[in-house]
Amino acid sequence: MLPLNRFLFPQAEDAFRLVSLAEPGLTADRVKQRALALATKMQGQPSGAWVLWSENPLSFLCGLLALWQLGSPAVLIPNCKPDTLNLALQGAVGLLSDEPALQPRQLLDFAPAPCELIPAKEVPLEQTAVIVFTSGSTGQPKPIPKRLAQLHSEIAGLEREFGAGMGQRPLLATLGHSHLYGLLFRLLWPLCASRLIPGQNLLIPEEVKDLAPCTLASSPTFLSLLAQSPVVRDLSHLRLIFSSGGALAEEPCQMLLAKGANEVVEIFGSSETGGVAQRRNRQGQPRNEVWQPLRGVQVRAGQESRMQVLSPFAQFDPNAGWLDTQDLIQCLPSGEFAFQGRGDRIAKIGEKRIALKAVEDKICEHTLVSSAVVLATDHLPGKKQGRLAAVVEWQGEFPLSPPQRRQAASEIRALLAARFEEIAFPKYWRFVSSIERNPVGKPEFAALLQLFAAEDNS
Amino acid sequence: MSNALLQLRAEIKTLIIQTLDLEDLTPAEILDEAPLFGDGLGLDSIDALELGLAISKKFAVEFKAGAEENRQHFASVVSLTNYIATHRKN
Repeated sequence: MLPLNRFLFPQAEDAFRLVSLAEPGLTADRVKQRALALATKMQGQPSGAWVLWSENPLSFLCGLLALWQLGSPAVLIPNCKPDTLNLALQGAVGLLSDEPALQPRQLLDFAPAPCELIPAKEVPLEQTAVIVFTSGSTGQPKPIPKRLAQLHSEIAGLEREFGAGMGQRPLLATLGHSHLYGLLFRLLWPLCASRLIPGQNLLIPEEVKDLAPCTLASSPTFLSLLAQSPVVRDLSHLRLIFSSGGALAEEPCQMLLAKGANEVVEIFGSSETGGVAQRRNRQGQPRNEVWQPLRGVQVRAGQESRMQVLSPFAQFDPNAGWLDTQDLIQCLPSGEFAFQGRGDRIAKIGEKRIALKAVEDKICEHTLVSSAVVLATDHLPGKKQGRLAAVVEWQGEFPLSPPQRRQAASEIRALLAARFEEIAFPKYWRFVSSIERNPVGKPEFAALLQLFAAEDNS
Repeated sequence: MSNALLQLRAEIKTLIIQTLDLEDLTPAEILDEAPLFGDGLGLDSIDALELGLAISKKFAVEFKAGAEENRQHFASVVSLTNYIATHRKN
C-alpha cells in the first residue's frame, strides 16, 4: 500500500494507474499535476489551515493534496451553511472552494499554473492533515486536529483487516467525503490501496440492483431502506457491506444477510476517536451484539462507564494518555464491549451528531421564544424514531390553531436553516406557555414526555 | 383532469402525512403544486427516502438512478402523481 504522505510520488509503474471510475482518464499522474498546479497558484497565500469545501470528491481530494503540499491542514465542515462556515473560518486563513455561491478566498480550480510547478515534496507524517469538528455537548463544536500519521495508520489497519477479502472489486459508497468516515473510506483508503475511488454516491436503494460484485460503504439510514426495498431483492453481489456513523438495528442487518449479502461489518467510532471497534455479521451466524476493538486500539470503561480509548488513530502522541468519550460501555472478559448509549446531550440523526443544546440555542433566537428543550424521539413512544422533537416556551397568544403552530414552526425552521441541515430540524413541535422545571431549573423530563403522549398537540 | 388522477393525488397526500407522521396538517391542506422540500412542506432527505420506499411498496413503482430526475419527481404532489400514474405496476 502506498503511504499517504508519498502519494504525490507515484512510482513509475503507478503513475498511469487509474484513480477513479468517475473520471475515466484520471491517472495518479494527473491527480499529481492538478494538486501541484493548485499548490503553485496558492504560493502567495498565507499559510495556515484552510476550510475546504467541494461537492465533487475528486476536486476535494486534489484540493486536500495541494494543501498538504503547502503544509496547510484542511478544515472539514459538515455542510456549507453560513453559521458553519463562519465558525470554521475563525480558525482558518480562508476558504478554498469551487462553490460559486460562497465567494472563496481561493478558487478550487486546476487550470494550469502560469509559471513552473513547485516540485512535489514528501509530507511529514506529523503534519496536521485535517481539522474536524465534533458536536460538543455544550452546543459549541470543538475542532479536533488529525495528523497525517493518524489517518495513515487507520487506513493501513483497514487494509490489513479487510483488504484481502475485498480484492480489486470496486467500492461503492453512499457517504459524504467531508467527514472522517467518508474521507477515509471513499477517498483515502481506495487511493492508497490502488482501488478505484467510487464515483457518484448511490442515492436510492434501486441503484444497488444489477451491479457487478462489489463492496459497499454506507450508513444505517441507507442500509435500512435497502433492506426493506421491495425492488432490490437480491444482494448476493454485495460481498462486503460496511456500516458506520450510527447503530444498524438487528432487523435490517438480518434482512441484508437474508437477501444474500455475504457479510455486514459495522464500524464503531467517531471523528474524534477514529475507528474504535468492529462487529462482523455473517450469513447463517447468530447476531453479534458486542464490539471487538480494532487491532491496535485499547478500550476501557472509565468513570460512570464512559469509554476511554488509547489508539494510534485517536492520539498522535503515544504518551497522550487515554481519550475520554461520552459513549457508555460495559467491558467483557473476552476483551469485547457492549455499547449502552450516550452519556451526554448529543443525538445522532441520519448519522450526523447533533448537539441538542445548539438546536435549542438557535430556536431561542426567535423573538417569541423564551426557552426551548429539544429531545430525541427515541424517548417518545409512537413517534418516528431517530428524529428530534422540540418543546418551545412561547410568548405569543394561546391557544394556537394548527395553522398557527405550523406558521410558528416554519418561522423557527427558517432560523435553524442558517446553521443546520434539514435533518436536524425537529419533526414534532409543542408550544407551551411555560416549561415545567424542577427546583434547580432543569426541565421535568416526565412532563415533557407527557406533552407528546397527549392526543391534543397544542 | 381525470377522476383517477385526482383520486391518486388524494391518496398520495394521505400517504405523505401517514408515512412521515406530519402533525397539524390535513391532506386538504397540502397544495398540489407546493414544493414538498425546502420552503414548502419542509421535508428533508430522510423523509424523501422513506417516502420513496412507501411509494414503491404501495404502488409497485421503481425509481431510477439519477439525482436530478428524482428531485423533479418528488418536487410536488402533482409531479409525484404523474410519475406514479405512468410507472405503477399494480
